Amino acid sequence: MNNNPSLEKTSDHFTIAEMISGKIPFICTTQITDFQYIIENLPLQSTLSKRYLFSQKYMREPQKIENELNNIDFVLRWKQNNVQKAEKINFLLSQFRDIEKTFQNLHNNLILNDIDFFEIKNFAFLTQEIHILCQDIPFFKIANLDKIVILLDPQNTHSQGFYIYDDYSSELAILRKQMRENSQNDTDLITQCIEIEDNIRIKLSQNLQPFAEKLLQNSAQIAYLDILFAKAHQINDLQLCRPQTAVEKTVYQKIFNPLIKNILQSKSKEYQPIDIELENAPILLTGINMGGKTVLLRTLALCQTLYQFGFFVPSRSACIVPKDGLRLSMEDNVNATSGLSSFALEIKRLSSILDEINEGKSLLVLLDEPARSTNPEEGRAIVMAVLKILAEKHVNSCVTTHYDCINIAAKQLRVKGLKDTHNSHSINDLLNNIDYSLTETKEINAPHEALSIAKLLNINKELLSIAEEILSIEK
Amino acid sequence: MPFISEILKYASVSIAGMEKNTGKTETLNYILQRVSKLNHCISVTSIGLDGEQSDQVTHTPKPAIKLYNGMIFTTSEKHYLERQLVSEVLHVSQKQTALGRLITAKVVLEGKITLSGPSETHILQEILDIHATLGAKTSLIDGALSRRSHASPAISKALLLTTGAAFSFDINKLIHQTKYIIQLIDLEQVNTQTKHLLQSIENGIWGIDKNGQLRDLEIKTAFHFEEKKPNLLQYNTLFLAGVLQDKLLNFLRIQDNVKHIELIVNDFTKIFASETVLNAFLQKGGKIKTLYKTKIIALTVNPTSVQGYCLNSALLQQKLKDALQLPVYDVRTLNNNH
Repeated sequence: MNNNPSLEKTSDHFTIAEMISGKIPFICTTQITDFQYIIENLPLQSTLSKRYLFSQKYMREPQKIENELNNIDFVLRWKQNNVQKAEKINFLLSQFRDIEKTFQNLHNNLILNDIDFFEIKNFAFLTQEIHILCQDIPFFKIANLDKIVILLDPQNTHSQGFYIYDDYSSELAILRKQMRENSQNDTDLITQCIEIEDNIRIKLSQNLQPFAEKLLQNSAQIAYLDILFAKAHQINDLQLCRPQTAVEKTVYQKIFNPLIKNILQSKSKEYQPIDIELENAPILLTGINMGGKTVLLRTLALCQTLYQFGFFVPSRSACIVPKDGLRLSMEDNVNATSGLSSFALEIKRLSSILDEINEGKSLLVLLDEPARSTNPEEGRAIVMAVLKILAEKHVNSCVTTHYDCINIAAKQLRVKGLKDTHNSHSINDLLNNIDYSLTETKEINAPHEALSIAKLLNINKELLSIAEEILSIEK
Repeated sequence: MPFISEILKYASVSIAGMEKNTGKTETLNYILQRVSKLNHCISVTSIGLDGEQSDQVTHTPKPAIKLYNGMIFTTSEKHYLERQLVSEVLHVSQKQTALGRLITAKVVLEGKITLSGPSETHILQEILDIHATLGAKTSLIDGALSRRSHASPAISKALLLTTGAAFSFDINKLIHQTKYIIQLIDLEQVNTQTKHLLQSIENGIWGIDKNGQLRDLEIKTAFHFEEKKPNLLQYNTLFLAGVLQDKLLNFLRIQDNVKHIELIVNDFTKIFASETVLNAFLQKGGKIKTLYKTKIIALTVNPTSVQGYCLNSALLQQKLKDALQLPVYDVRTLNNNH
């Protein structure tokens, strides 16, 4: 078995399904939770769309991302201008079944049965209907299935049902007529009918076979339309914005985490969105405990992920630099079964990220309290060293810490923190009393408010008083 | 034909047998054949893989039923593909069953088919709704009084019960047991509000407080109630999502508040308590109600058993009629009588 973290240097070319499977070593569970919240809340109408959505890949080429965002933008505006049509389309989309297997069978020259024919017939009807409604959506390209309809609706009644119609064979029609007139079951007649019916099924399958490719393409187009419709709906629902592709700086105005916003809302609390800019240099983020540093890193990771999968992002405005990959290091992706300590795992992960940077990969690096689990002196040294390397290599990055870091080449941001410590008497007061916004600082000391917060959390009195005593002696 | 016209009054009628070989298929075939001559659109489906699951357990082939032109039916994909009739596919369910998806179709040219259907009540309801949209005025359900099936014939508007020598050789015992089942069918139904509160609960024992609020008693199934006896006595109204057995009734009967206890079960098929224990509970003042209630409209009997034993049909019919105050028919003579 190889536990070497250098294995983690897989190129970022995974699908949404792989992303949320938890099997990609450098993706931590919090990252998945935040992303999954968005994916699972997409109001997809058809059962066939989820599979297509899950097979979408992480994109690195700005052009591809822009193209996807343009399509979403188009559908968003189109829906606003065509409210009634959009409602009809939503209904039609909900009628589509995932019958790709049937199409594959057709493609592979298998003989289909009546249930398959019924489903293909209805698929063809539905695509015809939806095609008429979507003619002015330029990227929605549906292959014409009129010939399928002619094959499966020989009576031209537009009835949704299907059976081997008398119209397929005059011989069959005669036999069936005889059977209707004969009340007694004539086994001979029945056998003859079955044979003719089977031959018709074979012929129908052969005649439909050349359309298999088109059916598969249409299926993909329908799924894509459903995904765009769902994304457009979600954008209004969660108040997402279209990110602009940037070259140098990633800039967010009022970035927020939809999952946490939702949790806070359910407790009638408000989420305070944050403004932040990431340049090609590290940012050192400090601030009190509970000041939202970790949430900010999570949200930055979420936005970058959403952007690169072609989604709008939770922010009032956003300019994002596309990256080869994103590395978020957090306590939660410690693998308890590896036999290594949390420190060892973390430091190996850090090292592998630096290796990737040396290989020339352009990464967004988000490190939550690196080296937190060792002694402050050496921990501080490690943080400063990491920052130095990130600065030298011009890496888009954000590092949080509680260590006092001096003489570093990073821009320092601090969570403004407690508005007024004396006004807080409980944890609820405390939450209402934190200003989560960021301010640039030159202070070398990280905020020392751990004990005041601990007090408000109503922790063991003895512990508090002894800790305070120790601090006063040391001073 | 009072029998047929009575059936056609209802939007849905279940045909459920007290035992295998009590003539359920004969009864169904008889009804279908009679209705085929009337101008009344009828549909048919079954509960579970096949009513009493005979082919799953004993591997004896389930008898096919004969359907006539214009009739609507729902069966599993497997049985649909084995059909011996010409029919037009009209609907394919999204849900999978053990025998594939559920196919709803209309008969174009009469013939035979094996019926199978949903095993969950809400899917059965969906199927009945589809039948109604397709024009069926009466839906027949090949039902089962089996704990293996979650879907209950009690969701249909009316019920036809089949019994006979296969259930018991002893006429008195037969009458007695049938009477008990009818007692269960006739249990009072809860009000609509309570029904809405409880109908989506799938397992466990729950309490309902004085304000009509649902309370979780943290009892996963009735089999586990002994570990949490005190929880059971917190509320007077209890809902059992699963089956009701003697043990629970015996426990509740000896409590001080037994007079105030109201037990709610899904429907009569979920009661597996013995007659003595159930009635002892009721005598002490306890109440039992159901979420779903159906109306029994007739009884058909099959006086012969597979072993060849034959009861006196006329005597049996007369005794059952007297005891139950219900129309009773002998399946073997149905065709001759009408």
